[in-house]
Amino acid sequence: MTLRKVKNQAFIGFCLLSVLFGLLVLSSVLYSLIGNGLAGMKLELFTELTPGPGSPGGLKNAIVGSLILTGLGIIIATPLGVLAGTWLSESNRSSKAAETLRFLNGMLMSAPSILIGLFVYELVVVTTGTFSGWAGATALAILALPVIVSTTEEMLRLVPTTLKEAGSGLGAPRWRVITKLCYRAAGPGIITGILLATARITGETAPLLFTALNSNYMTTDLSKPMANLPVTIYQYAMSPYEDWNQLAWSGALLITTFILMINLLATVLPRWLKARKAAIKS
Amino acid sequence: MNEHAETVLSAHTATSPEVNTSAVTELNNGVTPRMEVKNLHFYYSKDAEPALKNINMPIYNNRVTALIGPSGCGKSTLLRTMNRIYDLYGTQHTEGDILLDGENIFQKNVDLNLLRSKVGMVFQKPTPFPMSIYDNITFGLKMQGKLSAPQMAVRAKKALKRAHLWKEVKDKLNADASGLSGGQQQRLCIARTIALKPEVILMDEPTSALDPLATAAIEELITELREKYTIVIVTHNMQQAMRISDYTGFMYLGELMEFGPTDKIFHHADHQKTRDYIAGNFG
Repeated sequence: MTLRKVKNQAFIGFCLLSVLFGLLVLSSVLYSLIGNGLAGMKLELFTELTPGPGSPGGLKNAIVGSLILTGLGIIIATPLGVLAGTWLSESNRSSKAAETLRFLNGMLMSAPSILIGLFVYELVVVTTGTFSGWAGATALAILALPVIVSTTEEMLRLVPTTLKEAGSGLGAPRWRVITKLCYRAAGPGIITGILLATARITGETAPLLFTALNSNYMTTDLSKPMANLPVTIYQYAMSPYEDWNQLAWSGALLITTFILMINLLATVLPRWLKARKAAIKS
Repeated sequence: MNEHAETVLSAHTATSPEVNTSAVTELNNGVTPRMEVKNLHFYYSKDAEPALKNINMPIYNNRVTALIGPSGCGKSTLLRTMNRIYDLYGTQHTEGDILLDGENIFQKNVDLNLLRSKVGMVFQKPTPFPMSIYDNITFGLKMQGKLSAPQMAVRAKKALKRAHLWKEVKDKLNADASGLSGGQQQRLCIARTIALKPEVILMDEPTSALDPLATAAIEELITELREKYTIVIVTHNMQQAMRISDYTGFMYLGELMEFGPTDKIFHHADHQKTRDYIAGNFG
């Protein structure tokens, strides 16, 4: 074997090793998660409230709370993010204002989530005097926002200029070209971005610690502290009680499954939308 | 070639690139210009050199006018000033006038959306919108918001028939437009444009992305459309210009070197540059 071939083999070997290492870490995390979490996957998990130590219970309030907080966060972030992304893509792209906003958006994307939590704590919790679901949703929205802004901008940039010119060429005003043509063409990509943002905020613990806090009650009142999975997992996993630890494992498995499903949806949905279009064709 | 052109050659032997439009008008047997380009300069940005220099040309009513010339000579740029599509990008500006039915399209109070429904445009690559065939045709009509749904359906059918697309799509009007072939898509774009009943149709190399058969279909269509519309077409294909156009403008480095009846430009051009380009010596 020549030296060149040896080098080649060695390089490919190292690449393979790195992949295996990554997969090993991931699979051992999943292995222990499933091994420990599966035992608690009973109906009570979804129907019972979070219990005191030693008594039976489930995670119903935390699951419902998490769905509300995540959903509300995305509902707040989506219109803001899509509109901001549209502005970045469709206004003068190289203007000072656009460059600045793009830079700040990048900063926000990599900002530590605990900082966002503290910010909302100062902004909402301190001024209203209470931890609340609103504060939690606000913090999650701020986390989701930059992801939605940048994917919207990227996706709209991919819309061919000829399509926009063709729309304008038929006498359509600018905003109709954007809403009728660009959003339609970039739609699947933007939806993927929103789903990925959802996946990102679902598991966030730090921003909720100072905002929604946690609760042992089943509540949909957004002006009160709200139960949620990440903070519950955090508290129960740190506790000395075995039944709480078990609930934490099950909660973690639940969140992981949820995020996995959203990620799958984000990959499958655009393809499905395209396939549906193809089906209409024939 | 013919006597007509011969007399033109002897009568008009100017050597300057300034085109004598009045001489051209005389040749025209009473056909009036639908549009007139007057002393037009075009700049891509404030400090840039003009991309179009002092263009003067008539666009005759119910005739096909071809713009030819080497790449980068400004023919597409000139076409794009005629419906002010360049306005989408803030940095570009013009000097001079383009008259449409005697009105200057550069006037401040011109409604751009109205202008663009009067001066339609078909692009190099077919640009079907990501929606059904029917919605593609009615897109511009919906923007105008003048017609009721049944009126729109009638207009759409007429436009599709005129673009020779009706037979092929009448059973799948709700199918996605991207499922059509390239040639069909381009005819769809033409149908979409004529549904708005424009006065002028601008075509920017409409067949350069199509195969010979589809090209022939579009050329035939253009020849028919000329009965009702005034057409300006940019083309790299000189045979095409010869086949379908009544008038031809030869552009070179941002100037209109020569303008006249197609026959004359192709067989008895006044300028050496025009003759060289048509002979394939450069460009």
